[in-house]
Amino acid sequence: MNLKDYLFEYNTISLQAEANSWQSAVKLGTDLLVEAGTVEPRYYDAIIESTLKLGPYYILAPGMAMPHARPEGGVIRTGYSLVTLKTPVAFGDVDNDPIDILITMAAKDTETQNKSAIVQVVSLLDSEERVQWLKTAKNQEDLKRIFESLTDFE
Amino acid sequence: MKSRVIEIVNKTGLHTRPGNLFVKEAKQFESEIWVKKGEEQFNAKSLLKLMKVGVSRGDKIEIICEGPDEDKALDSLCELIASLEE
Repeated sequence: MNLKDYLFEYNTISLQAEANSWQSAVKLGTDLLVEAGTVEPRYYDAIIESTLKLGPYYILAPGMAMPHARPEGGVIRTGYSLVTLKTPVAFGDVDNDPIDILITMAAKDTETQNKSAIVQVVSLLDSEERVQWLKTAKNQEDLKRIFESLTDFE
Repeated sequence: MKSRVIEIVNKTGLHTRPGNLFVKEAKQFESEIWVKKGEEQFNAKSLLKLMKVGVSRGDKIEIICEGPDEDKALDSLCELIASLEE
């Protein structure tokens, strides 16, 4: 299932959410995936552990993060969640902090992660106009309109 | 302008963390830097573009640098790619 369909089908969306640290921002995204049965609760721990060891390797561009861990970190099936933050939080990446859009990604294997899941996430975020819309979306209806207006994004 | 073709040999290619390291290194230089894979050419300082195109093990990419520190940039980026282990 593609990114857009997944978000709406499993309702893994939280807009204008509040987080007081990068850890709690990551947790908002992984909690949605746990509720949807996409990952085990330990997926959160896997992301935090890797971040502490390697730094925030999943920061994509100013304001945007794609938290994820390896498939063996507790992925049940491939899926995504979208979190936007009312107040951005710092992840410790000087080029790109603070972050207010998080697309948490879980892929069932490395091939799926590299060839499909990452490509879908970055294709959505590779447009300033689209990112601005995402940041201002207040509810699911706003979000639906944004996705419906995207003719070049499947 | 300086350029070199290099083969990606590490397991995860330039997806996720190795890609992030590559872009961060490219940003250290003043020169304009591009990556060419097949027909597609993109700014090496954009992780979004790099991940969208996707560079995997076995791919041959051309790194193109143009600017005051082009020699150093090209050497550093090729060294970085050769040193990737994961």
